[in-house]
Amino acid sequence: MPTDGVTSQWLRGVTDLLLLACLEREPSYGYALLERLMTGGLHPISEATIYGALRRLEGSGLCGSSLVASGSGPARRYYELTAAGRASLAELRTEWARFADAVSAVTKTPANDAPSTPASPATALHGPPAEGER
Amino acid sequence: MTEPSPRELTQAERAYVADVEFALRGLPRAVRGSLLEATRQNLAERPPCKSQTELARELHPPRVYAAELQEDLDRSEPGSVARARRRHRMAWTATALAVVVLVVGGTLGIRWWVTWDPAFYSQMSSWTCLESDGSACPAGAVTKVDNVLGTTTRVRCMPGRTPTIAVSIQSHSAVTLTGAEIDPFDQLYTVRSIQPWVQPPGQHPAPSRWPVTVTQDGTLTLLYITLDLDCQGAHTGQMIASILTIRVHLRAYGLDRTADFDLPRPIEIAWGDA
Repeated sequence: MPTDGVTSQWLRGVTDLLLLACLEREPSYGYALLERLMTGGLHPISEATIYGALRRLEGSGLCGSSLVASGSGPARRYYELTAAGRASLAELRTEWARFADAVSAVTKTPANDAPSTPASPATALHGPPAEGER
Repeated sequence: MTEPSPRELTQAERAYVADVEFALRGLPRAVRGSLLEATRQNLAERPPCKSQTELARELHPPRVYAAELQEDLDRSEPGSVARARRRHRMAWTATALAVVVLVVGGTLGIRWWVTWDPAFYSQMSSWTCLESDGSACPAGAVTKVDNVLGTTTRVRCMPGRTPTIAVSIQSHSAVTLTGAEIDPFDQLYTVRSIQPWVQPPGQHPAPSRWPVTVTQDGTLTLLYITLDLDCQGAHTGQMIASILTIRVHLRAYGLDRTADFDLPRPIEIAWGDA
């Protein structure tokens, strides 16, 4: 039975892909990105993971950031994709598609497979019985 | 979900950041600073929380939040957090070790500085000038009595005689002599004066005033010690006093010190003429 913990683990594996994909559309800031992911059904997602990942992506040059003045309080840090980030996003998309297809292929239910009669375990392991055994 | 306005952190949120920082201890300053900046940014952009309980419910307890930050960091480069912690720990250990070495070394250095004592020695004998008027005798004076081969320099105590003893003194260290003294022996004699004579290399000794510098280049310093003797009541030939040590006052490394210079041969004071 799927749990929040399992989903959370999966999300951690694709955090970079998700954030880069969101930033491809438009520059944004941490909390807005978090909301977008959650409203898209990707939850629970750790806020620490999102904000930590944004700092990390910026550190590795996949996105840049700039402070944008706000009407009240401190300025927001807006992130936007760099050229390296776009290249990385393309690679991650390809990798994700391959991975998702592989997972789907392995995990699809037996009912969706072509009908066939599986061999009995004994036959499968030892082959047909010998003449004397019939 | 409504979009929050960025704002200053509440007291509870600042306390939360402090707790996260505590949980991130052991990480290098730069890494910790970046993660804390992410935390502050997170708190400033989300709806305000006025209690630690509320923060822990929405963001997880500070320790868990810190662990999630580190987990993300570690995912990009597996083992990076552990390596960073290890490097940080090693840097701290090296710093602590350096401090210990400096403190111990410094203490030993101070101890050496306080207890330093130059080794005085004399390659020449002691000798006496038998001038009856007590005047100091320069090197090469006819009346000088060397005692190069003897084991003892003997001064005869005669009424009205104020013999002068010349003692050569050298040091393995460059020091500044500020004075000298001899402990009187049973009040049978008094020290009238001790005057330094400096003999630069290749030259005759010349009288000087305290202080004088004893260098390591072989410069010889002579101490002319004029004694007043009181030999009343002694028997002829009786040894009434013996001088074994001269106390030298010096200044070295900015500190006034005292060193006892053992004479290479004792100076004996005996009653009667030679």
